[in-house]
Amino acid sequence: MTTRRHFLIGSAALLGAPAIVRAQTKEIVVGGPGGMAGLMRDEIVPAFEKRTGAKVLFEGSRSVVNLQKLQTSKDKPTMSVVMMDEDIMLRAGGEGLIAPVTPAGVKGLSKVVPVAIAKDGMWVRYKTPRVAVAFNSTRVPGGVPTWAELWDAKYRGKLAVPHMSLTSTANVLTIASHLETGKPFQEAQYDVDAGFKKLRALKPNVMAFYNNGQQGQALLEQGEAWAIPGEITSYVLLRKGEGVKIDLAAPKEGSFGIPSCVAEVKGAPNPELAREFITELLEAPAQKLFAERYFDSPANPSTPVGPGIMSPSEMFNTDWEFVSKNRAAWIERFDREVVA
Amino acid sequence: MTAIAGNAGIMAKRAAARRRFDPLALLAIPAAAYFVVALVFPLGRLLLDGFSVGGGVGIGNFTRYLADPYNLGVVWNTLRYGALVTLVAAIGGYAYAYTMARSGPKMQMLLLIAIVLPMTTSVIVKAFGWLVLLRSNGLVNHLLMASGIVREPLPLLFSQPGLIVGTASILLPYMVLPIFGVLRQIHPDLLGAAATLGGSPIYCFRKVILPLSLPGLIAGICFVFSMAVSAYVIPSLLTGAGFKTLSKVAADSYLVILNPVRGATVSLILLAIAFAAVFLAGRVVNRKPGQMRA
Amino acid sequence: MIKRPLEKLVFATTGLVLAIQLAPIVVVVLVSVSASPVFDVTVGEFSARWWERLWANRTFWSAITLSAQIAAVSTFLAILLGTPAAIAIARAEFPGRDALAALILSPLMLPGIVLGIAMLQGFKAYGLTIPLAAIVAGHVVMTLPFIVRSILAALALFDFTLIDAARTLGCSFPRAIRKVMIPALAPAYVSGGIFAFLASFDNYPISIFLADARTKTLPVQLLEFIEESPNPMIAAVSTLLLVLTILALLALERFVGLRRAAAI
Repeated sequence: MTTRRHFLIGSAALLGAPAIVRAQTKEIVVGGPGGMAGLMRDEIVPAFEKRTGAKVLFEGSRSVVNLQKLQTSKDKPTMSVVMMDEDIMLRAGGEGLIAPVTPAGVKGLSKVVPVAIAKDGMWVRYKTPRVAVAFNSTRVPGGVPTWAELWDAKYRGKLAVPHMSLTSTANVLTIASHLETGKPFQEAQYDVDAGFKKLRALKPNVMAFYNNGQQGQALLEQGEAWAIPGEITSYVLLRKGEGVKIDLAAPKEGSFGIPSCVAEVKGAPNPELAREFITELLEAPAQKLFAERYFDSPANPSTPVGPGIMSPSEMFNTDWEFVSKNRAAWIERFDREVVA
Repeated sequence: MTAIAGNAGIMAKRAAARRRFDPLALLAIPAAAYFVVALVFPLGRLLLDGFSVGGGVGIGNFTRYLADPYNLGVVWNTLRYGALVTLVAAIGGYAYAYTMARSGPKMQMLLLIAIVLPMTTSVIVKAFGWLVLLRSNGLVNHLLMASGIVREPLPLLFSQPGLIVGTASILLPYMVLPIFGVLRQIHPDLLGAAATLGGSPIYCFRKVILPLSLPGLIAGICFVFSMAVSAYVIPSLLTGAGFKTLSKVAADSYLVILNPVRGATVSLILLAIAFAAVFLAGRVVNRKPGQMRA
Repeated sequence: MIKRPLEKLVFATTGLVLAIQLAPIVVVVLVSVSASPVFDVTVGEFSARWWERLWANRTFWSAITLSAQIAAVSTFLAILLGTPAAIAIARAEFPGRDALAALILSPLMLPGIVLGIAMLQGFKAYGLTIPLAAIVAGHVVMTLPFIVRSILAALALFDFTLIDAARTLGCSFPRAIRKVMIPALAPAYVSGGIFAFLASFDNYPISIFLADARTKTLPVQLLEFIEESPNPMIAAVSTLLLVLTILALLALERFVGLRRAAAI
């Protein structure tokens, strides 16, 4: 009986725990990508806490989960800063869930390249991963010089291709359209029909269309897939640095930028601290970490970068609003015309 | 005469009502109430979207979704996947549970551990493990080629049989343990007794063991079928995006295209199908053992 | 026992099932000592670095403790709610009984993320904003089907006249329940409890919507690891869980008499 009572007391304590731990110091909640939790925990958050004396709670999950959380707590947000992909940020902006930042509020804003400030300051593109062709360097020792080569018969059944439900596939559609029509990216991205036609022609080379990112990565790393069109620096080059025999090509036709964005939540608790945190992400130390750890392009041009990291202006900046508007239709089309 | 008959009729009705009001039924109230609060209301709020048609209310979303042959294909795919996975799991799971029930205590413990262990490994990690085994230069192909069964590596990944067997193996414990639970309650001599009465093994199984173990089998079928038709990570990991089910469409509607109306519509279709299947299975199991027919 | 052909077939099937069940986890164990940064088996070369990394990772340990606590509390609550419900469904005649039995399974019929979003919005509407309480409330919904269905299956074969017999012999009703019904249902509690515990312990889609930075459960933490870098450390995590599971089952056997309970 005693044990049972202890158990119940234990569970009551467990349920009441957050109320007890509530901190005295000011704190903000930052929602961001789960994959960044390690870097946040070990480097960026401690540095920020030391500088400001405040406390940061980083909630790592997916952009869509953060969007849902913002939508549900619109009246009384718990999150102060949110880091999401651009296409989801567009949605959050459209629903009035985020507050625009100004150089007066976010000091770091004056230090970034103009292209990093989206929609007159609705959100900031604090870093830009590059999208290109990932390849297994054991299977393709010479690398992949062009996107066009992926249609070559030597890749028969050797490509893992992300499904349209993964964001970077929008860029693959643009490159397909570019190869089909010869139009520059700027125009090619709107010629969707040509893109789908060219993607259909890729099918003999496709071993699998995947919609679980981890699956595609495992196929590539284990050498089952030779190449993936539409992978990003922060995965490929990070893993290359850890000794995995994969690499990210810089194809002749060009690469795409797929910005990582940060915004202040509208009506956020401790807004000054939220702006301080956004500044922290844009200052040299954090920017250097992003470039060193993820090989992503820094928004702050004064950041020293290693060879092979392009600046945001060297990469094609997709019309994400167009993508966002058409995504649902493209997914359906992709399923019916390309996958099926 | 009529008065008496009427009276008797009322009496009978009252008796029936008394019979129907079984105080034991009250025991279901806490769980039912909890479900209403924690599941039915939140889910209802979300899925009500399925009935919103251009500012009004109607069933247009459902009829429109189901009118498209491609979507009907998705529905059919979901049902076929659920049924095949359940079938494979039922065969494998029944055999495993039967072996467990007939084993000695030590062996039983080992078999129990062996079936519970894989459940603790996350599906993604397990899928990575399969990739190591099944890829073209993986262990299985090595063995097949070394033993001379095949010359070229077989494309074992991304195949339909691989998907069915893979899913069935992930969900297998949910079939094994409920069947084992009832098989053990059947006296071990029963099988022997039935056999000495002159029946063939298959006859005994069909007439004695199967009907007695039916509650467990049906519990297993309900678990596995429900979990198979609602799985969206498992098929993605085992075959990739080429395989579309209702649950995948529902998950994508909320996670990717951010279309809650489509998500609610598809979720409700899925729920209706699975609910009907489980409801029918429940009608079989809720009869008293004596009335049960396989 | 005479080995009939049918029985041979059954045992062969069991062997095959066993091989398919164990093969991937054997791979996972081998990957945890892989010398390569890739999730792959390295032959003849081993490394303890993934284990070292796991050992040094403090967030992981709090995640595993938290998940175990949540799973234990959820399972306990589900048993409290589920046992009477199962008895009612099995014994009482009431309108909507079959529908209730099916309804209790409904959390398993929908993709987890649909439930996660529904609960995020619904619980917020109730004003339930303590993440840990919300997670437990959600996990009870996920664990209840396993408890109710497992007990229901066992009750179908339980002879309720035994309780009357016990009472005739002088047992009080609660004592009769404890002495007669609980032992008969023990295996159902073991299997239902294992399912329920793991359903909570392994739940990602509900937890991700209800959790915050202070309530990071193990699956949430595990996916963070994978998204950060899909290296063999996740195999070390899984292997550790395998070892903990074996220890837990053996402890259950030692102290609760799992085998006695589960083997008549």
